[in-house]
Amino acid sequence: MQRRDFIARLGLMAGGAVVASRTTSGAEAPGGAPAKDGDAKAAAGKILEPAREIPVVAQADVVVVGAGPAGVAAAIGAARAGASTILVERYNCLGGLWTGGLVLPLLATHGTGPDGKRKQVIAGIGGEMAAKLAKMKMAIHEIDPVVDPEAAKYAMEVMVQEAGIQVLYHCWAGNAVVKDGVIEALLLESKSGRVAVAPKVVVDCTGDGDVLAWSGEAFENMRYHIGLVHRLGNVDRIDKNKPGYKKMPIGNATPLKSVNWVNMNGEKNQDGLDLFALAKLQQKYRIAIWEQVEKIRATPGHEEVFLLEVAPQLGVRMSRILDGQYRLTFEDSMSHKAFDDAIGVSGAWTSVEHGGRKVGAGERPAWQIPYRSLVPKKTRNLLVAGRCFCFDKALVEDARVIGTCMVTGHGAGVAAAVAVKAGSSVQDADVAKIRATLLQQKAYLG
Amino acid sequence: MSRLTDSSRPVRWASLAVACLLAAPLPLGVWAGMHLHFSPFLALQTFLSRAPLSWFALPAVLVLLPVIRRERWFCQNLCPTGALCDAVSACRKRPRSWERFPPIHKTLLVAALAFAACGAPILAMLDPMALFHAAWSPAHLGWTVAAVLSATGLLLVLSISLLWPRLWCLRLCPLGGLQALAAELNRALQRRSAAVAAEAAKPGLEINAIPAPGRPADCVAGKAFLGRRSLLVVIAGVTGGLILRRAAERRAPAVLRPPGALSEDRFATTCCRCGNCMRACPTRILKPAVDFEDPFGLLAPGVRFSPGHCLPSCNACGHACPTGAIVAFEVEEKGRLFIGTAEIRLDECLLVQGRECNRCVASCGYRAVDVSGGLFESRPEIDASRCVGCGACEVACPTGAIRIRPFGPMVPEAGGKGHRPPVAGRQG
Repeated sequence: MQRRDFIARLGLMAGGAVVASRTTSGAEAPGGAPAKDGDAKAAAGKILEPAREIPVVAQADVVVVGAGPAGVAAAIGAARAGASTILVERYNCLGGLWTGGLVLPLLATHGTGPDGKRKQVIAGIGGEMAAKLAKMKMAIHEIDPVVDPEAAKYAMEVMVQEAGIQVLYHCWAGNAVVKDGVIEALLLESKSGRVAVAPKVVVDCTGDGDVLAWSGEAFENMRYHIGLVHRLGNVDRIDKNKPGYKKMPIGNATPLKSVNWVNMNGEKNQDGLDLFALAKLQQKYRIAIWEQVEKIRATPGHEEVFLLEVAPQLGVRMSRILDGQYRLTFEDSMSHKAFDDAIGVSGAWTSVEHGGRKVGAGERPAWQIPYRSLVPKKTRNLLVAGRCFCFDKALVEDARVIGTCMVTGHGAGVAAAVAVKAGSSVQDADVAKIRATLLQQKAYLG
Repeated sequence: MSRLTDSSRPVRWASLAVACLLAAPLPLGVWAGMHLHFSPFLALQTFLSRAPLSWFALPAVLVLLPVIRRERWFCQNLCPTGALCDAVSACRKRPRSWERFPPIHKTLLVAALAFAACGAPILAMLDPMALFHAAWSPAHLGWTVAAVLSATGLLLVLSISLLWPRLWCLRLCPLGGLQALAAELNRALQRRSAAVAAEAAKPGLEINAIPAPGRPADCVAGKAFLGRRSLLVVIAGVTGGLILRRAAERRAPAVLRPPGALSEDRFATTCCRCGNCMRACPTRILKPAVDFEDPFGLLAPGVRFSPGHCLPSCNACGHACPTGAIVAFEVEEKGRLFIGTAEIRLDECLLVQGRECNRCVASCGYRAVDVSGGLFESRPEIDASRCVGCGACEVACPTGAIRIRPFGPMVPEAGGKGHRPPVAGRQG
């Protein structure tokens, strides 16, 4: 890999080893052999990072990495269950792809029960958020609502502050220190330099499953299409009567009548973990979006339309999937399968073909998510929530969406708090207690 | 004349029960209607029509062996329609004689074989077993027009049996005619050896009123039959068959046929309308076509992707087909057995509307759908060389934007198996 080699040398020349350590940290055991002489050395395209002391700047019962829909639900769930909680976020807002990625629809809110009735299944903290946004008139549609991103950021910020969670914005979790199957510390890159936080239990809500990879858990890296969403302003000022008017792809409505969000399917079969690929896509999309909006503006009737915002976050739909204690299958999701350790229920947002037959979105069963599908095989204080929990790829369209992330996040957060309180490993956590606490927090368990 | 409902024939009632089980709406898969593979009448026509013959024709050949030695062995033991006819005939107190009728069954047989030799074995639908199976259609499809029409064949036969007991079995049924002819040929061979001739002249035991070999009336009819008349029938049959083929070739119905079906002109005239494929289909997407503008294709199976699709892992219809109208294909061949091709109305496609969807891509078992277009003009695209028209995408599409459409006139692939689109993407 000449490219990587070049980057490593560049890093050396600059005297910084951050980039190179990130590219190799996934492959090496955390806390691997320290350099003997304390100098960074280039050898076979890799360097050894010099050993150094990292200050432990904070301790908490539960550390949640990633403040997307899963992370926020996990942190609030854990905090409300009485655990001291830290929430680590690399950007400046809560909501992850939902808000920062402008993927505005809260999908999979509804599912059909065994009685054949369709009902809302996203309850608990996710349901609370949805209700809050609906009350603020910042959500449209009752089923699978589309929300306003700034309103969602605000609503979540209020909930997080009320729950007494310490949020570490502008912090990028870079590695985990693991000893005997226990994560002893998480290393964060921050404006204060590299720092460590000491968790009792970690909830991996990175979406990409970064923590589970650092912990040595098995995973699969699923390649999928990566897009970049943008929003258009003044869509209510399009003059359809103007001579030469032509219908243009201007996306879909948001709660603000002058604003549309425009989805992008994007390049397919992309590796969401490849820094070069991500950078390249970002560059390509930035140009493409501007030029697309220019094309729209040049179309008669669309003169007033403008590019309001390109999402700050690239739309990586899938990457790592945990190889956990139970792999939830598509079949499970279609058969009203009941789990003794269900920590939540998610719904379905699109029709599928099942057993050679069409099952419409409105008829699809609500599906229970077992606690075991969030639990890794080895690490004793790690739970995984969000799109990287353990499921079969056939279920991807329903497992990766905002609603499901909220459900798995809430379940993992509460489970983490319960495990901390009982001093048990996540594998031995008291499932009955977890479910009871979730029910107290108004989660729906089927 | 002894009663036919005689309890001395347990084999017959057992085989009727088995036939009912095989025809009933049970999830039998390939075994649905297995009985039909025992019909030598169908097997012979399949052979003559040069439709691909599979190993499933073997039972029919095996059945022929005892038939040559004992005429009507098949009717008396295996034929479910025969059993029903006899049961109905027994209801009539004063039976009318069937003997005054000419042996139309042999005429029908010769005509059927002549048709088959022209590649249009359309008289296969007179096979009593096919009629029996078709009569179960309402149980599978509900009381639809097609199902009722499918069932009329057996009802007619039973009505005939009620008016003139045993007339169908002994004078009309072409499968009976085949057996009569086989026995006659056998006797003719036997007569050549003088020693056997004397024995053969003795009248046999009358079992269940179906005449034993050597009955005088039959012999007389047989002699007359093998003469001038049979030649006329063959000429008429061949002429009719050729006209039928030409007429069938000229039509291009907008209908989807099962995978592995013969080309449309031959399919419509080869299918015996037994309905086996429809009951073998696990997703129940095969339905009898009722398009009165296309009489040739009437009641032949058409594919309707509602609510299911053709599973990539299934080859039940091909193996259930007794006539080779649907070739007995292997699962591995499905990638080149074209039903039709997918057509997407892009204005209804969620992806084109900028919504999140990839159901067609995910559902395709043949990797024939892919997303193409620029970043803002993403749209699903069908690879016509890979799309076999299995209907998975049509079923999966949330907005119903995808329809499988038939190709135009089918071009049979070399070897007679499957179709290829004449020109990829051409409107049919």
